[in-house]
Amino acid sequence: MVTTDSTIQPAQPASKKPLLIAGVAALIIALVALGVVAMRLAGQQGARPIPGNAAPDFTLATFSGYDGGLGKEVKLSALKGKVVVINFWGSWCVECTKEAADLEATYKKYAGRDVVFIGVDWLDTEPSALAYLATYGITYANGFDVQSKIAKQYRITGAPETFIIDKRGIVREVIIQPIGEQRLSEMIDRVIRD
Amino acid sequence: MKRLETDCIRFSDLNHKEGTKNTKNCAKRVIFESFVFLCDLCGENLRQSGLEIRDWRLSREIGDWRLGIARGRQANLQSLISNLLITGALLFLVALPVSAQSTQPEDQMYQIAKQLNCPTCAGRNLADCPTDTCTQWKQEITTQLKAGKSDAEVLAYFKDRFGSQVLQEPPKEGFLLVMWVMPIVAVIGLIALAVFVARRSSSSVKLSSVASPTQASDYETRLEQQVKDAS
Repeated sequence: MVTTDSTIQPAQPASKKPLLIAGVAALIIALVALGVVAMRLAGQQGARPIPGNAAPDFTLATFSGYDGGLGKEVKLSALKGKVVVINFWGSWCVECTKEAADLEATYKKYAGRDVVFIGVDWLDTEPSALAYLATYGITYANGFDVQSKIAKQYRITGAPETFIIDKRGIVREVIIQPIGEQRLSEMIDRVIRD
Repeated sequence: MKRLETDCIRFSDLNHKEGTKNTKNCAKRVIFESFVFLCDLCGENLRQSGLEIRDWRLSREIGDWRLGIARGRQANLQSLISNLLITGALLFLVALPVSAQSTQPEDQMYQIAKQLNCPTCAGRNLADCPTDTCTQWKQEITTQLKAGKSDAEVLAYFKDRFGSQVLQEPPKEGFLLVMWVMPIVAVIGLIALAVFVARRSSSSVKLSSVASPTQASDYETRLEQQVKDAS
């Protein structure tokens, strides 16, 4: 009769597959999560609007008393058919003060000519922003960029930055320095002509 | 040893260096002429920078300074020991008001600012940043604290207004929770793989010894013998 004797059984290696599967699965999960985070962060910014590209749409809640006749909320896509000048600024920004009066003067110069100015206040506190607007006598539409959402869409790298959007909603000019009235007017005239 | 009492000393009053002013609290403290005062930001010995104790304008405003051990020309061993003892006692006394004033608005503002990022300088703490933006933000924190808001409410205001990226630590909620969990999962995975590799290498040694010709033939011989015995 054949008997089973454990003493003569060859040693069986312990099963290691679950450990391997768990390790690989954990690493795959971590890598996938890393990819998702990276994509999410990249998606928050999007492509930088360069001349020729469509201007990213946004809605800006204006400061009380600074709606420029556009209402409490300004939606860019609702302004098609008009030339739009978007200026990013902050009351803490020294360079912004150099162009503030010129922006207001240019806004008044083009009043009634289908040219809209929108000031986007970036990384600012409201009391400081309102004091800035009062100091420079700004009257065109201005509002605070909550959580820098618009700044991220336009991928600004600092302030001031100014974008000129044509009547079809296409970015035509990107200015990353303070701009004077004359140069800004020339650019607007060119966009109106085209 | 000349003994002076002051509510506090403000570096900006000392005209030590532009930009070295600090906003930390200090309470009433006792200072001695033989102590060395070091700038908290640049570490320079204020006395060596040409300032005399009589020039220090005392101010009720907030200041920041550090006590060093006396290193004066006339300091001998005895005075050094006595100064050390006095320093210890002073540090103890200084520590008491510092802990007692933790709820004062300036200190509270500083604590909140330490939990926020400078929005324009990458990786810099709001509390330590002297830019105009950060100065405004710190003023806003002070304003809100004076209005009766709690630390959590002030932080929530900044998060809502400027986004969660202004927080030094990303909040452990929603999508950002992934950033906290991901490293842990990766570490677990690496440990599991390391254990797997270690076990595999040790078992391969065992297997190779089992498969050695001598042992295999021995096993076969015993097996055959058992079969013969059974039959």
